[in-house]
Amino acid sequence: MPIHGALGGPPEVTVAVAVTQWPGIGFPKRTSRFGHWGEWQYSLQANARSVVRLATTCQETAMLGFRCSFGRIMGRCTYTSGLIGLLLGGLVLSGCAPTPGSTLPPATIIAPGPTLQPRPTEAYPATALAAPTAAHAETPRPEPTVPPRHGIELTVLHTNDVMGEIDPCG
Amino acid sequence: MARRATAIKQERVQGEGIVLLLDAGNALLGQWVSLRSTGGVMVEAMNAMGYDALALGEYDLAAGLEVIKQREKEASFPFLSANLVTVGDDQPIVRPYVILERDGASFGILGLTEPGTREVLEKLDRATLLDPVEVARQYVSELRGKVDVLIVLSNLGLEEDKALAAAVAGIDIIIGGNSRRLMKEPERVGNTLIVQQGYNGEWLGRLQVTYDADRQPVSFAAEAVALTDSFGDDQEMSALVKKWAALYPTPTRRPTPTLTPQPGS
Repeated sequence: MPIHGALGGPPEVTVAVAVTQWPGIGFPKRTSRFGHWGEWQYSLQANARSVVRLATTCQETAMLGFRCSFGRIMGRCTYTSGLIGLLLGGLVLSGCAPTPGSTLPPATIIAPGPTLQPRPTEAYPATALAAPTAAHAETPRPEPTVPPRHGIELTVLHTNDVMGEIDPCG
Repeated sequence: MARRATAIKQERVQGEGIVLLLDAGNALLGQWVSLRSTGGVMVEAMNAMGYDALALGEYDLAAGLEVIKQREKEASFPFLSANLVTVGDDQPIVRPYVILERDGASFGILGLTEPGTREVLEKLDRATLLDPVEVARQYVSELRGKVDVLIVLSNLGLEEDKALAAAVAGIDIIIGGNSRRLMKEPERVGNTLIVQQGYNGEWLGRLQVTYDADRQPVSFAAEAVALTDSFGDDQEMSALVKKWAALYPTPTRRPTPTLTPQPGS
């Protein structure tokens, strides 16, 4: 059953996640950490917002990415991040759901709130990320010049045990 | 000394390739003027000849570490000893090694001192001499990747130098001293060449080695150059020696008093 909007605070986005326990997924339960229903609600809200922020950030990044040569790659991020966001949201929310036998009351279904309005697009300068030109791409990188090693002609002149002698033949 | 200066000048002019001038220790003290000047005359003379490094020998330490530090300040070349350290914290008292860059090639020169004077040093100077082999192992490992040719300037003695070369891999050349040996050809232990030549400043050793681009020795030759009068005296060095000899004149033996008959006796 979907929950629309975030609990308590101003709704920012529609998160279509069913609040049902997903058996077999090892998320920690929050029932023991939040002994008060209000706190539990706040935690649930905070988790949902985090997921939404993640998805929104990815969307913004994708919009910026369309303006550069990597737009296609980043565009895919919109769909991927959305799916990941929904999945994470489900996991987080299910992790926060009360376990059977808990003293906490079951989650209530909130009335549908306003749906997400598309964020106004912001204008970015087109020259922010210039696509590499063909000539640029084909230009080979200059190899670092390593001076060739040559052989060594070494002469060691050496003395030992001179013993302070300044005039050995005197 | 004046002949040695002449020979060195000739070698620098006639020799091919890179020339290093090194002393393997026991250089500063011994003869009257050098003793009275506590090595001052030797340092000035070695500065004039352009020595690149001196490894401290046990006799060099006889005047005490304060004198050594003073002479080190006066010298234009480094005093080296990797195993001469202060008691307690094992900090080197002089430089353990020096890296010389010549014509695009780098040479690591590591100094070692014979530990025979350890007890005297500990009493008088709060210094000691560590095991040279262990110390050399540590520094050779540190230097090997940094230099093209690694030379140990050793005052340990010939047999000890052989043992060092066998125990510590990575030494290209050992310029030795203390045994006062004239060697017709270098000793080879593994890839290490070991030489030393004579004593009392009567010979100048010359070791020529050719390394290929991979720093492998291709050929070598060693010679003990006897500093006979065929070299002539270098005038600059003669003047330097005379100056110091005038500062510290050698005491002349007093005439033995003779008994003369006293009048009336």
